[in-house]
Amino acid sequence: MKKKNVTQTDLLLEIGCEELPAGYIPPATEQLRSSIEAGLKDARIGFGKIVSYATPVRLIVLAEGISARQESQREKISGPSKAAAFDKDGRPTQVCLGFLRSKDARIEDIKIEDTPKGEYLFIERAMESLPAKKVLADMLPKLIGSLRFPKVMKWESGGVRFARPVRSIVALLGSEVIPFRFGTLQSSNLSRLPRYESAGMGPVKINSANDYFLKMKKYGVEADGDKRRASIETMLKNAAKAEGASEDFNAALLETVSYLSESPSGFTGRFSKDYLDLPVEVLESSMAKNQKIFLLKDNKGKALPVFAGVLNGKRKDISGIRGTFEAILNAKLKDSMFFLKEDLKTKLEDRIDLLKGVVFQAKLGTMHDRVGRIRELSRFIADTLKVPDDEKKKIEMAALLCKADLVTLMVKEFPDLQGIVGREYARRTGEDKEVAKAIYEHYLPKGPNDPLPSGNIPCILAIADKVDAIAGFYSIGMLPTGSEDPYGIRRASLGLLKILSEKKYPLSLDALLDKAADLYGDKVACDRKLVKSQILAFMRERLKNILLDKKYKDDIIDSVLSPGIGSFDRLGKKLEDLSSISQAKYFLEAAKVVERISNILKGAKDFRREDAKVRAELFREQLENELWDIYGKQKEKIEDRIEAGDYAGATKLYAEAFSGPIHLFFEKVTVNADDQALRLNRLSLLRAIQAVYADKAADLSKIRLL
Amino acid sequence: MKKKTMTFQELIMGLERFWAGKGCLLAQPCDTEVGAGTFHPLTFLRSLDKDPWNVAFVQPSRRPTDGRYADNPLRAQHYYQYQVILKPAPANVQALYLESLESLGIDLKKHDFRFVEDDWESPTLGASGLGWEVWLDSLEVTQFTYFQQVGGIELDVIPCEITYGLERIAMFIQGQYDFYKLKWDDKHTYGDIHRKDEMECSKYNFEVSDPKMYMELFNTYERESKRLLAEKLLTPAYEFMLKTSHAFNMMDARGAVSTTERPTYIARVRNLAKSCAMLYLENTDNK
Repeated sequence: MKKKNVTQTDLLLEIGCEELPAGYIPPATEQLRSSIEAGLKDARIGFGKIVSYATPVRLIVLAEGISARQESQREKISGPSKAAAFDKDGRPTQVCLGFLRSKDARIEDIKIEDTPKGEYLFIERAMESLPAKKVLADMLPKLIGSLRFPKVMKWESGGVRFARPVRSIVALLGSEVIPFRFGTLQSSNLSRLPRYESAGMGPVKINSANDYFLKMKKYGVEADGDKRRASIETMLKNAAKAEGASEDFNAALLETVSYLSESPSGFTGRFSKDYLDLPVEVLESSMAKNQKIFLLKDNKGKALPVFAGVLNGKRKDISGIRGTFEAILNAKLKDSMFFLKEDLKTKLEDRIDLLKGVVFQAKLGTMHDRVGRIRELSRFIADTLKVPDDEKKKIEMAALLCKADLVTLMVKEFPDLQGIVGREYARRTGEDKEVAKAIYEHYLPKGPNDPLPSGNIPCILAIADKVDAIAGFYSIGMLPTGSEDPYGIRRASLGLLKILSEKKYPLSLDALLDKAADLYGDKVACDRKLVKSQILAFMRERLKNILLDKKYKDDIIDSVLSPGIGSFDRLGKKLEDLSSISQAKYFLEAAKVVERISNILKGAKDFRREDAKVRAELFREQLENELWDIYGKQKEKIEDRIEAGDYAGATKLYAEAFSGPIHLFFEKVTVNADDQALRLNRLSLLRAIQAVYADKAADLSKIRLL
Repeated sequence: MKKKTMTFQELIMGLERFWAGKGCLLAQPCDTEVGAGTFHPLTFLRSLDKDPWNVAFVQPSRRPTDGRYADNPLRAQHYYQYQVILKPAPANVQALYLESLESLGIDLKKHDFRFVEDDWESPTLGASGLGWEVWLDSLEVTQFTYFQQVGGIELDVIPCEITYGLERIAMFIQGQYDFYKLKWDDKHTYGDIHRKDEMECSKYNFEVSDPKMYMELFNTYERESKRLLAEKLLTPAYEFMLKTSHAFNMMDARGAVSTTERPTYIARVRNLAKSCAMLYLENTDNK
């Protein structure tokens, strides 16, 4: 058993910064914990529990049970060969002495070992075991400098960078300061008071890790972000109860405010009822953006003239603070009311011309051009889906209006509210309800957890919107790469596939992309075929993931996607049918047929599928004739089943027709005959049998047969 | 007895006194139209070298598109900044700033003040920095920035720029959330001084100005700035760069700059600003 270090102490590191951006803090907290853990392991220093915390101005890590020294370890250093190290009289040569000098070793330390290359010198000895304090003094400044943030800055001449200036570092091992410098800043046992105690954050002396947490508690600092969030949530819920409001709050804002305060305390305030006329999303956006406060809503989601805010630090009298929050909110909402009134003077329809002044993308033209294409595309989709005329009219209207809110004052002020503002303005100016809804929902789904558009009208518009963007950006070579998606093309693709696969529309990407490319016309010069194949390859990858999420088996998905994605109604039916019969005997038989043919065709490198031509006059064996006969009789029946979307029936017919004969054929007939014409004819025959099913239904050679 | 509230002019005097006391040179405004104190040569150019530089001044600022015909309590096309540059940024710069608020009689214990992330960038000046908006009870009163880059040049000695929105601070101190009702002195309101010109200038910027003239002026100013750069006459070249920037803003207010042309105009101003920065450094190196 290894000997345990007798003395163990706690390590406390507090990086005291000027206010860090709220979004940077949670990932940095975790990084700090994991890099301390890795650093200690790497340095062979024993430790117990490690926890990290953070406030807007502190990144804190506590590592318990730090061993006093590095764990001892032996090292083995190889040196020169014995022949080089000693002369013929057995005296050490310059080579040997140089080696000893460089390793700070003596001649007695040397061992000679027999290796496959001959006899060599080795030194084996205990590695230096430094005190933890010394190791940490070296490790901590590097570790602080290695923390990653979305953006870093310089605040003093020299090399160090961090998210915001670092102004104090508490580094304690037990009660001793671990001495080091980060830039020009010296570590110490001096932390800083919270701003509500001392605006300029005066010093507070820390004697140990334990003392640190006691002092933080004394000054009201809650170091744990999760606890702060929970306490804010409780405050918000209490406020909601008191006002009879819903307990549903903006989660993203809650996360942000948890990292804007070291000691959150809540309060509520009110604003003028005149502003309740603003769309609820505008109220929420203005409050979140300008003041980081929460709107209270009733259980139907309607705004109440009440907000809840979170302060840094607890105070006895907040009437002054509340008064200012209310006055600012009223002033800001007055601005939004001005936008609303101005905007409503012009109907959405009359704004469409203004879209000529809004660039969609420099090479892809204006938003006005885009709206024109979206209209054409949605018309094409509506025709394909044979939607009734009254719906068509609404789609037409929604397509025309879907981007008109981009030229409103409100969307210029709150760009995130595009679509929402359009919907509200459409409602308020008497547009059809479904049209209004589609103006908003055509942007859906915006994220992986967003709902899909709810009915045909918004779905068709959403498909048109996304196909146009995808086709456009791909045609000018702006593709999503790695994790980058600056134009939202990956997101649009995922959204498009989700809608199509969920709604199972009789639409194919092929046809949609061709139509979109036609609409761009000569505007973009590109190799249309290549662009389409790039998009389809990308889409197939994404679609596979979506279908895996829907719990289809991966080999069934592969087999179904192999002939091409095709139209989504058929795709859905294929997946359902094949999944439901995947354990049936005939399914496995059909798969075996396709697989055997696939295997032999794969081996025939000189055989080109597109050249396949069966010539009955070349048949030599009776079995060839018989197989050809079966093919002739069954082909149409199988195709009819496929055409009718009865993939289970088609599979059954296919297995019954070919399962027996094919195996017999392979057994008795040499496909790869020496006579080349004969061989190619037999391959062609097999290819015909493969194609009738695998090219139109599913390539069952992808099925894993047990 | 109620304490007399601090007027707008007393606020300026208070800041002057405070920062002079901290060793700042009290400068006077830049006398060409600018959008912010950052454009003042005593900010822009003096940020570039490694010499210590501490300066404070009022800067009347113009943002033609922000005009609201004196109708909006928080936005105007002409307003005042109080600009402080501290180079190198002292380690206690946040505390100094907070102390300046206290010197104006703001009791920070009674208020909720925050440093809210706001990274600043001026594409026309090729300048950027990291910092915050400072909120007093949710009212944004100051922009606080550590410059990282100016005129496209990565800085070694980092200046801290503190930009007070004077009207905002006055609002907070006077508890009066309408620009125009602020007390300028005991007899006059801010509106007495600026309401009429705010209305006139809003009308001019949005309705009456001649964008074609400004486009010609832009070209003329740009040409002149380039000519002066070639003559190595820094100050006049810099001033003509400022004039191009204002001409661009005037065109912008008329909606005369399309989204596609926008980046080109901005890049043209930035190129002048960068050339000025290079010339300034060349001159200081030769000193």
